[in-house]
Amino acid sequence: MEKKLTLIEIRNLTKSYSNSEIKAVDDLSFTVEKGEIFGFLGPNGAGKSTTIKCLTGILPYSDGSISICGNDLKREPIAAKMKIGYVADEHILYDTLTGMEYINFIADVFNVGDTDRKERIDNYATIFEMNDKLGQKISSYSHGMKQKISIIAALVHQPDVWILDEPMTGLDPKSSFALKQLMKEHAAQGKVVFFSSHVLEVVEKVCTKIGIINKGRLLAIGSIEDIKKQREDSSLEDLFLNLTQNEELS
Amino acid sequence: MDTIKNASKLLRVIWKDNWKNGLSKFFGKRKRQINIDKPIVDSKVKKLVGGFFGVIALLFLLAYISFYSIMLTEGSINSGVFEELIFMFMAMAQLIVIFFGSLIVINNFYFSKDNLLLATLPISSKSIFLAKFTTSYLSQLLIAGFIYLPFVIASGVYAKIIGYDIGAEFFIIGTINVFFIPIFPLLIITLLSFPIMYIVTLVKKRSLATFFGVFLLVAFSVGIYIGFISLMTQMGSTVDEQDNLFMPASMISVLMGLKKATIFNYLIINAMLGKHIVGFFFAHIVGLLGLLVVTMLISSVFYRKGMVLALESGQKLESKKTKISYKSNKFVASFVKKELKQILGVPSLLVSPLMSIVMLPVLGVIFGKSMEGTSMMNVGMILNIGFIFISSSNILSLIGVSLEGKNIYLLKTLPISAKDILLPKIIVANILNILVALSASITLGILVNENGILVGILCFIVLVIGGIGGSCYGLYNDIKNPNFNYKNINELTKNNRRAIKPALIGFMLGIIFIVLGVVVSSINFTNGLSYLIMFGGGGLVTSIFAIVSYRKLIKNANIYYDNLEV
Repeated sequence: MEKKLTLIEIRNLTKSYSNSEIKAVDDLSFTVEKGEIFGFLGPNGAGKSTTIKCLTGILPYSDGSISICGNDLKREPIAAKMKIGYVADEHILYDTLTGMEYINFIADVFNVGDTDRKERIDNYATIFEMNDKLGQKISSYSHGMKQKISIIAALVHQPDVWILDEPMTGLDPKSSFALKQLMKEHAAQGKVVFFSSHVLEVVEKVCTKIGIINKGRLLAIGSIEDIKKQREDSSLEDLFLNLTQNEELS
Repeated sequence: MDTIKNASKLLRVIWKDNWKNGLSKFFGKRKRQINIDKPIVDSKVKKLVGGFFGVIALLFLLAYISFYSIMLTEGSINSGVFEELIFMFMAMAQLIVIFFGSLIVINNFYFSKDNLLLATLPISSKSIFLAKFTTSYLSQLLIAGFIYLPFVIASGVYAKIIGYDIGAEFFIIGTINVFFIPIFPLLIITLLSFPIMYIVTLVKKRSLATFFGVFLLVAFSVGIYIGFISLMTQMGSTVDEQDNLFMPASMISVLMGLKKATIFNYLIINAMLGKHIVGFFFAHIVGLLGLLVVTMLISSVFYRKGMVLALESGQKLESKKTKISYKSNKFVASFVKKELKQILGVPSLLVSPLMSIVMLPVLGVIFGKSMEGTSMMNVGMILNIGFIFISSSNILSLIGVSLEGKNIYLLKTLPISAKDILLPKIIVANILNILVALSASITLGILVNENGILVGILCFIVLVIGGIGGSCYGLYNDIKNPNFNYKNINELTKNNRRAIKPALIGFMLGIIFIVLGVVVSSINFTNGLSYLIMFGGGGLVTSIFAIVSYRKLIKNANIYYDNLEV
């Protein structure tokens, strides 16, 4: 059997915030392989966002290691980050720029050439119906439009690892559908999509692999079918609720 | 009653929020992300030494104020204008409140991000006004007290010692008066801001209009302040045959004029001086309350409309399409463009550097005129002010990192180092510094008697070098303890203790030029040697400061940057 290429590797990751004793992420280990769409699930405050922030280099971590496409995030941060495209859970954008200026700024950072840039921006702007909005200031954008600009900017350099934190928030149904399609296409190109979500239906439809986290610890990992079989849960919702509730009780 | 109840509820929340996000960072214990400078023990020693020198500096300042106050008190009593002197002390504190308070009022009322939330709550605009006004008032109380109290208390104590007829009411009402001082100037600024900001919301080019609106208000405050400073340069004293201090006629007329201009303080000052104590005291309070009510009523017409209009149309008036370009750029150029757009989009950030550009020539003329005949010393004096301005007014270096706010999340995910982020910030900060340096150098070039162009060019060079050092130092200071969780840019710019250290360093650099200026003025060197000592020696120290600051920033920035937690 062909061995799958690991694009994300997290080993014994532990993260505590400087103002707290509690471990937001506790000895987390898992891998995400080429072509996978990984859904990261967990209740509020479970450690999903902290994990994603460590994974993208936003937060420093005390113990463990993170490797992106073979580049250790601590030792080779620039090389590792070159492979990542990130869509944050809150709109971290420069409001005073226009949408196009913002995408150009990100494209400049990733050294995207003029031709590729034009082709990709036009393509994604068409998918998300943003062509005539790119020249407007981000401050005038609605919540959903800001989300779309974040997505386009994250994809402009065609990252090997596309990380999204609650990406469906604020998107209209058409755009949500388009995003799901893009995720599938991205994975089909041999890349990785890693996203967190509370919308279990989306996770069920899109993901090839899921991880469920609570109180900073990984409770289950694998394909939805495999986990359901192991635990005899009838749906992803049951699986999620049972796992996280059992954790609460214990 | 409901208005006051709601206002007090709102005030509690706003104040708590301000304390957490702004004031606690000034007064409270700062959370240090990581300390790579010194081990903990050294850091404690550093704090103790810093505290010791802080207390010494404070005592020195209080002693200086008291001495100055005593001289003025003796002169004023002998000249029969003691009452007018108290008017001056009060006016001085009120002008400082106008100077610092104008931006705070504008930010609190119009640029605060909580406006959106407040507009949705069932709270009257009067309550919002009261809460926001009180927030502005509380932030100015300390400044007013610090300026006014030492002058008045020292003056009162000395007047009592030399037998002038003042009672306990002078000290009691004089102290209570601290709480009244910021009210009048803040109400005036607030009243002026309503129509200006209302008109701004009606203009299509809102960013530009906002900038001019804010600039107009701040220029008004600074204009009054500068007028006051220029009047103060006429201060002086004469001594009679029995060594009694007297005030010269020019100063007496200044004091008389100031009394007329600030006649609204008549009741409280006369209550202090023992005239109709209770009646005047309460009449003053009633007067202030009346003005507050009038402002509050006007606010219900203008403020709400202005705020709602701003929220309703938001930036949409400006959201016309601009030309789309797919052209790639070098990262630094792209980042510089982003920085420039960011500061141009927040008018209040540009106010302090622009004020430096305007104020340096004005102060240059004032000080230059008052110190004729010692041109190299004048050069040193103006360079000193220039260094202080350049080091402490450049918001882009003082809060350049904090200014990123939550966008630091985005930057940290990008394949760039701290140096890549800081370099464009140094460039943009120094674009503004160059403008300030240019304004100071042109003024100096015109003011000095000989070789104006050469002196102007040399001053420009040392100020630019000092500016580079100052901006690197400011950024280093900021990246060590950034504040990314602000809701209103005002929280970053007001009570900004990040400005203190750079201002002190600017002051120290300036002192070197003053000392060198005194040396070359008192010894008859040839022009060439004078310039070599003044600009060569001073320039060398400034260059060392710039190189050390830059190297320290670039060497350590990555460690701080990697460990930043938003």
